[in-house]
Amino acid sequence: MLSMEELQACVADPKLAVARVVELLQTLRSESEEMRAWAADALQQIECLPAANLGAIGPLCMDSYPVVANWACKMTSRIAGARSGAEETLLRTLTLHPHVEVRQQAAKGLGHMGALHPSTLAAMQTLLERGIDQTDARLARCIRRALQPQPTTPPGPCAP
Amino acid sequence: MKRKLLYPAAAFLVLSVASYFGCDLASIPRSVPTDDGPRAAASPGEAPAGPSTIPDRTPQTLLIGSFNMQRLGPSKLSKPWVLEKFAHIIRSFDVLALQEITSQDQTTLDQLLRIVNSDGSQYAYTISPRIGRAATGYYEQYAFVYDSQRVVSGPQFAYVVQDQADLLHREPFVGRFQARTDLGQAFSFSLINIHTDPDEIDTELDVLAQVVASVRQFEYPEDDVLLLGDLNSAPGRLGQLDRLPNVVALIQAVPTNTRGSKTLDNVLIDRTTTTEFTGRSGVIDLASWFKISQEEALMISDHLPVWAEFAIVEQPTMTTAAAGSPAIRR
Repeated sequence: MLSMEELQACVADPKLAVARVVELLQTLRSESEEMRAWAADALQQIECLPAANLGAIGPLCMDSYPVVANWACKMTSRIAGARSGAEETLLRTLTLHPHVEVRQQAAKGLGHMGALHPSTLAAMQTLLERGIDQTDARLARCIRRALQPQPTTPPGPCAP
Repeated sequence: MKRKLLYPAAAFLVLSVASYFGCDLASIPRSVPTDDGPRAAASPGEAPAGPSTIPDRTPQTLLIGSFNMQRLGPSKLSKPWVLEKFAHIIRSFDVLALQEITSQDQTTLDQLLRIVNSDGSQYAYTISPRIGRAATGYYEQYAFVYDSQRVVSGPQFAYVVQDQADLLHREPFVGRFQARTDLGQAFSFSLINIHTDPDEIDTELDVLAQVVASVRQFEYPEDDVLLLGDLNSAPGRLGQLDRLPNVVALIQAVPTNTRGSKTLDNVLIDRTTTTEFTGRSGVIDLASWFKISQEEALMISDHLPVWAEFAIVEQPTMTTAAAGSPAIRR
């Protein structure tokens, strides 16, 4: 885990945050809420991650600790390139993670990724048809938003 | 799409804390106005009012502002230098809406206000419950800090907007205030304090337009309802908030982050009803104000305080004045 000084350095320097993204995610396991808050702040600075990060971050999307899984989903949606791998990872999390806020974040992440593969869209449509509206209106909203037509390329600095 | 999105927002219920009922802010007696002129400021505050600083407080005006303190918690509380700077910022305002109080220790603002009031000031505060989502790993609190010699408020005049449809990451915190003055009918107003989620900005800004409408309805006959806080977006990119009739963002084209690159924080008023606005507003550039480096300013916060100045007494609304029967309305 990173120290408070290291966390604050990452908040001040997004390039450093990119370089230490996995350590930042691990710091979210801290018992100190303040440490978690600063780690989250540093992660929030990251706009785009290299594709090479998917191997380390992807598995964390299914982490049993929801805070880690939640932020791993957010980071996965910011991975440039390796789109199909990131998409698969988020869809798997959306479908299987036991914590509802993590599933919501996975759906949001898919919504931020731009045009999705038809099989991903079909899987999300199936989830909606299972009546998610009745059990979790926010998750249903996130999925509907992800299902809306998206630009063909991801916006912002993650654009190829 | 908007229709679909906003339909559940129509179900927004603005509910108050139980103690809200039965308390009439107008029934609180006014104090003698402060007639000792503007508060003596320490050296940074002596600079003339301009786009990067803040005017002195006067018996005729109120200074209302917003400041994202960036993770006010044990780390910052352990730095006396930072606390002194926070205290100086607070003392420059009559009412300051704060965001990002992340300390679990519920005595944090007590500790800060001990420093603020160490010069004889009498600031008080109202703080929200801890708000947020568990999976983000932390919660935040909003607060209103106000000079109790100049403004009446209190926990019984504050509530969190209920968001039963879970449309917002952090539900807004509303407070009611009334100036203390004998110069005329004291300016009363309600503040909606908000910190949006940058990842949900498109949704949240549209929902906030609904919140403004709901709070206005709930606060009626109060017609001065201001929205202020960290919107994470600049005027022109505020979604439905930009399209609310007569509502204007007072901070335009001025960076509000300490790095000087983005306009994130703002104060929004209805220009037809909040005619108490004097036309002066701005952003305090902490680096130039405190004569410190940007790096040092970042130790205070990555956001800058924003401010707006208002007459301390009620002014005729534009509609009543235009009708030729200037009447003062709450």
